[in-house]
Amino acid sequence: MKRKKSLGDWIFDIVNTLIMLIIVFVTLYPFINSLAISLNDADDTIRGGITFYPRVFTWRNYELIFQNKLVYGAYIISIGRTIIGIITGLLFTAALAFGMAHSNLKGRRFYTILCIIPMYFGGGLIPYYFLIRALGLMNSFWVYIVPSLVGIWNMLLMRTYFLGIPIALEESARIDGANYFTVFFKIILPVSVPILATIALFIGVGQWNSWFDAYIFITDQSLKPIQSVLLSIISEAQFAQRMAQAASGQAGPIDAGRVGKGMTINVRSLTMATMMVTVLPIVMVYPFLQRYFIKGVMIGSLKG
Amino acid sequence: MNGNIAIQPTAVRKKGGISGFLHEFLKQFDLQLLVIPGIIHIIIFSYIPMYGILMAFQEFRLGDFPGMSEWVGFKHFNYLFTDPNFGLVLRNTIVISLLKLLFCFPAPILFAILINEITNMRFKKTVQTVSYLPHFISWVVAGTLMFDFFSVDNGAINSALIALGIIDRPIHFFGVGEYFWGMAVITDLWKSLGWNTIIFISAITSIDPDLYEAAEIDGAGRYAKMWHITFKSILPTIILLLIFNVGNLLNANFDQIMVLTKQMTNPKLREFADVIDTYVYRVGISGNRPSYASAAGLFKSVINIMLLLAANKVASKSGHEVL
Amino acid sequence: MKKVRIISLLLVTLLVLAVMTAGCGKKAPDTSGPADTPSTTPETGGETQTGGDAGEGAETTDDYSEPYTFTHYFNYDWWGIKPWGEDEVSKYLSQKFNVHVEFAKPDADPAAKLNVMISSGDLPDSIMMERGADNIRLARLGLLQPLEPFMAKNPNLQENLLPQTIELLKIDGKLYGIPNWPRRAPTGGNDVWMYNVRIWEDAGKPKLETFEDLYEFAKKAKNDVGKTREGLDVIPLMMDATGDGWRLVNAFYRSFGGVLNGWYTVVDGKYRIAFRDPLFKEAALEVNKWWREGLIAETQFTDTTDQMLEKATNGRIALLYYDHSQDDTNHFREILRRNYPGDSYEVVDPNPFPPAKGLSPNDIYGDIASTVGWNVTCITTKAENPQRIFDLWTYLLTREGAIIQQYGPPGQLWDSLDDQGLPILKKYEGELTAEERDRLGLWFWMIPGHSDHVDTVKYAINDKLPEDKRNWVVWVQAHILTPTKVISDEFVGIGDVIDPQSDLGVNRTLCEDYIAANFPQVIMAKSTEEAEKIFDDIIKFLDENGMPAIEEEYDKKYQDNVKRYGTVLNKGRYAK
Repeated sequence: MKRKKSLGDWIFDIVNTLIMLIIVFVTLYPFINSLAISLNDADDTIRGGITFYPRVFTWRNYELIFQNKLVYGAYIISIGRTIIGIITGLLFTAALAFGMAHSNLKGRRFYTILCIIPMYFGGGLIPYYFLIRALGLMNSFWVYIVPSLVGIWNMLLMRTYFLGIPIALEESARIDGANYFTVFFKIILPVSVPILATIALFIGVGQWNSWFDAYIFITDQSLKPIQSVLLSIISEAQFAQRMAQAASGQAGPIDAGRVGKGMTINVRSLTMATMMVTVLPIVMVYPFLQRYFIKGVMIGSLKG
Repeated sequence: MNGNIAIQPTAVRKKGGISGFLHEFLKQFDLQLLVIPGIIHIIIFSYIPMYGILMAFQEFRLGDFPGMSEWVGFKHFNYLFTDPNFGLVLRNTIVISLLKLLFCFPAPILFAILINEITNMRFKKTVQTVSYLPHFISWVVAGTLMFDFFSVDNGAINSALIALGIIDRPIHFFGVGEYFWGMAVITDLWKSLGWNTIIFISAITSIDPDLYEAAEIDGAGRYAKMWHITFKSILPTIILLLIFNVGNLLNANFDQIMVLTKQMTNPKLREFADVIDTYVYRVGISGNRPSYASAAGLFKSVINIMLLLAANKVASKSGHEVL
Repeated sequence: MKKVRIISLLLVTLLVLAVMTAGCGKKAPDTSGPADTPSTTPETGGETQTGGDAGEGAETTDDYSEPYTFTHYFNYDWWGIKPWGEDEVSKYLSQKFNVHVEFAKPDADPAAKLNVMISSGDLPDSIMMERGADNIRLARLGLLQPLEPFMAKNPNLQENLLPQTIELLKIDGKLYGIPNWPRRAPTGGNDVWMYNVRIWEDAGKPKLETFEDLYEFAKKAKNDVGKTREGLDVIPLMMDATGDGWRLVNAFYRSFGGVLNGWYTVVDGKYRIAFRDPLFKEAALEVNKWWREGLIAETQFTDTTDQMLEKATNGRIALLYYDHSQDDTNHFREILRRNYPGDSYEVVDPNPFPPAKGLSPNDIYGDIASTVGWNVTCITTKAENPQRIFDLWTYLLTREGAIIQQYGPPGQLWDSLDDQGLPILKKYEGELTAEERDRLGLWFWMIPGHSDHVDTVKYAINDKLPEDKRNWVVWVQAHILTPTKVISDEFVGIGDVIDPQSDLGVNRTLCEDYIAANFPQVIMAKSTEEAEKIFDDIIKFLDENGMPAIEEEYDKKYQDNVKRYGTVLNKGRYAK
């Protein structure tokens, strides 16, 4: 039943659209700008002033990336850890969130406190390192997956969502004799698609962007994710230019620090290119997830 | 599950004591089984390494086993509280966090509700997809973009303002200390708006459309629907995020501030931009005092968790307790 | 929906299998890498360590018959790594010493990574790091091997270093580090005053002999020239990014005849914080004067190096005090010359550091370099064949090694040496493309490098080139800066006498942090009185927060250094 649009509606829509357009421009422009810089010759980029399009077009920055043999293996590793990380992470986190959403869960208070404390207190890197070593996860692909099976913050978000599901759904199933596993897998998860998609996105992006775990725990080059490889490509390019003459003129310890911190920079174009290489896959996948953010997923289950 | 957590769905005849507990526990073993793997995981990966916290009370030296260094008690905390910079650093942290809470917290909510009001599907999807792009730009790159955009030398903003006649000399956005708080909020808003909206959009999609139809029949206008249905339905998510943002007050965005102040080398911004994290980085980590850094971190965590519990208490008064 | 679910499940399983086989499969060959080399008894590696480095092991300096693979770690997150053995230089070294090297560096947070490595015992075989607290600690924890036994078999180290250098590098009486960029003679230089040719011409080509000349030129640039030909504002003076203002005051102080070592200098023969030196105060006030008159870039404190370079390459900076050697890496001068024919940056002449107040150019100090160089490469106790590692790295400290590092092995860019021992190049260095340099691996394997050998060869070859092919950076280093440079070890190791975690260390951090935050306020003060007040307030703060005690400790070490190694502060204002 469509209501006729009033004048107020029109004004609202126009203003809303304007706001949206501004936001789209402000968020899209830096991206277009980065794309332009990534397609621009590195030396020319130093002169500044590039906006929507490259001034001196070149594929060189992308060549530098894709000529690196490690890049392809790293992509596979990153895709692998993202997909596996999403599936396993969703499973463990959702199961925990499901339980925590039940007020009749014995020990719920205890569990809650248990979950909150680690969000604030941690032992630091070295004890964590020893743990990973003790668990045999050093230099193994599974160090990307196992430690992140449960994201406490994600769990809390999921729990909030589950709390919003009408209890009638669960109760009717339990009256019919279903146990909690059945309720979880057959009833709750199917109607939780929006939150599952959201958390999948969060986990996925986290996995895709991560490099610190690889940095500390992985020495095998073939297990490095794409971020690690991209970082090393950039630092290699920076360094190769840096060493040429500066080093031989070292005056001593005072100046030694200068050789490193914040000296050239011819790599801005390259950095933009690596950013594109990282973000474009995500941007391409996201619309696929977007359709899960469509309204009305729950209706069918209620009415059915 | 719907509604107040404190309500028990079924009343049960309770047996007393530990055997009673065990009995109840086993009755819902399938539920417990869903929960236990996650709990065990947390215990292993979050609790076992926690002994490292002892570092805050010791003097850690390179090569020590964490927790086994020389014991110094509260020495580091004393240093922290008596450091002349402490007051300034604390002030900056709190102000920046509060400003972000004031502006960057409500914005995604509003944005999500407005997106929901877009009727053209294509436009809606486009806005959603494009708005989160800045989240993927690292602060390092974003910083360069910001410096260019707000630059004194023909930066886009200054050029536009001058062309429009609003100002006649370019504004030194990153060169005046007092502007920093505003710049920190604006840049953070730009970067995080789209991404933070996602959770609210997903919460909105689970709203039953029938509610809107029913409200229409009752004669509700557009704004009434937005408030009573859209907003109220995502309120639990909002409260959750609000409470945890309060519980995060002493953590100002380290990456962002380091980048915007060029690793704290911009002297004009120091007075307003130095937060606990940057101070600790400079003095604790770069100054080769890891235990000091650890102690400062512990101090932050303790205050933060107290803020969290306080916020939770306040929320519980209105029936929206989270913990 | 069901079909989609099944298909996705299948895909995922396939992917998981693929990843697992990729991940697991690759592990085997890599970890068996070192074990492939039969001679180095990998299984008993742990036990033979102590045996090997005492010299009783099987390896002698000349026996390279068995290949050896070792790991080398750079303790710098900004270092760039290339695979070993793919370019000509490393291939040559690889064959010469029959080694393969696996490189690693921290992607971020080097301190954390170092900590983790030490705590867990997962040390690399060879590590390059700063001299100082961490290095000393590693030695004292017994994680590094002393180099004396290897020096006995291989004299490269002793032959290329001064005895005092070796003494300076010792920790608790033993030598653990191979220095990187050590020297025996003064060569080269970096920061220098440069002027923009076009602006200089528009200003009437004024002379730039003295510091006062620079001031006049800066004023002319701002008032008379005002804008470049493209209409952009002229910036009279700009330096590389300096958050704390050190670079500014250092440039001025130098022209006043002073010498700055960090924030410290020598006052009446004692090592003191520079603020106590009246001359330093004068220099600081001079900077303030330039600032107030608008002669220093408005954005000097807020611009990044990138932004400064943008201005430089567009020819807007009249006086540029900058590391000229950066032209080889970021091509600031080259880009300017290319885009604006006739324009350029040239070093001010005849004095690269124009003297002020009527001082003679001879009384001005250029760079003071120590003989120990920048950092050290150490061999850890994990290394199974330390002699081989020692041989490889110390070879690069010889003149022969320096030639290979810069120009590649014989048979590539050159075939034979001339009568002065210089390689006869088949192609001009400046005409090599980036790919060729990459393939040859030039200027990459400076691990370590020897300043003298590298510089003397570099300068000599550059001088032999026809004038239009000469490298400007090298020429400036050779002819303009080298005469101003002096060698002295009097400042080595002073900072290390204070433990960062002690009370003195805590105070030191507090004081230096305060200086970094407040010195720019001195420079940006609105009047001389205000500048003086802030300056005096800094001294007050330092006095109240333990600086005198720090100065005392530092001075003790300084006097000890002077006694052992002499001092070069004996001319100009330091003349007794």
